Amino acid sequence: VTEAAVLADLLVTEHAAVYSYGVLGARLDEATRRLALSAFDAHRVRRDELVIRLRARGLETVGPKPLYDVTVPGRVQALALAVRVETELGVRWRDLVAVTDDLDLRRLAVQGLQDSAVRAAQWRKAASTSPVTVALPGEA
Amino acid sequence: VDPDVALIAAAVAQEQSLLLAYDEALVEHPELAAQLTPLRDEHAQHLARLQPTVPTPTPTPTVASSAATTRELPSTRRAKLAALERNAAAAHGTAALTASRRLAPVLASLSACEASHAVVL
Repeated sequence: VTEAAVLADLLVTEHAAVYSYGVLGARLDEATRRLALSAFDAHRVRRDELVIRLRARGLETVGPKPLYDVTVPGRVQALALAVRVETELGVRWRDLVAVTDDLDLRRLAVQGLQDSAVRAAQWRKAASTSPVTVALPGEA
Repeated sequence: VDPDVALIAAAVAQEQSLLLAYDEALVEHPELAAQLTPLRDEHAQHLARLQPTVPTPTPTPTVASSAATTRELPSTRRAKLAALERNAAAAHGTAALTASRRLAPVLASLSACEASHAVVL
């Protein structure tokens, strides 16, 4: 797997995260909606950071694709979707760590993996899922 | 010399000291076991991932080192563990920048796990 392919996958997954958070926030309570809003903003920033790096490498920037079923009738499904969004992103960010020696990309990928693990844990906690954390986030 | 060797040794030492900190906390505050034991066990998994051939230490509930020290409030103990987790997350995150492509993702996963521990503690 090449760096270019992983960056393209990441962009699709960040697009899907932005879209998912836009939808699922409507099914949450006050406290968790705030978490969804901050996640929405953070993923938009990440998506734009990826676009910048793809363009700097002369690579194509792909648009949004439907990645998840965002039909969330209630809070339980909304929280499950949020966990899934962050878990998938963790895998992609970890993939990037494994295919690049570029310091800037490594740094971005480590931060991306950390953030997704933190958010996944916060969502599991909100959903009262146990265990709240995983030992090796991003490792398939 | 393979630069990964030193990075692995540092990561192993960090995980071992975290395990010790959790074990001491569990001795002093058995009432925190439901929260702390899963976190502790994830560090044991980290150790196993770093050195697959060396058996990970089992919990040592008879550790007496903390018995002589002043008993801390559970909230203080949790805050201290959270600080240790943040330190470990930062150290493993930095190590992941210079490690080989084989080791870097492992260190990045450890770092991410520890960042999540710090938040839930």
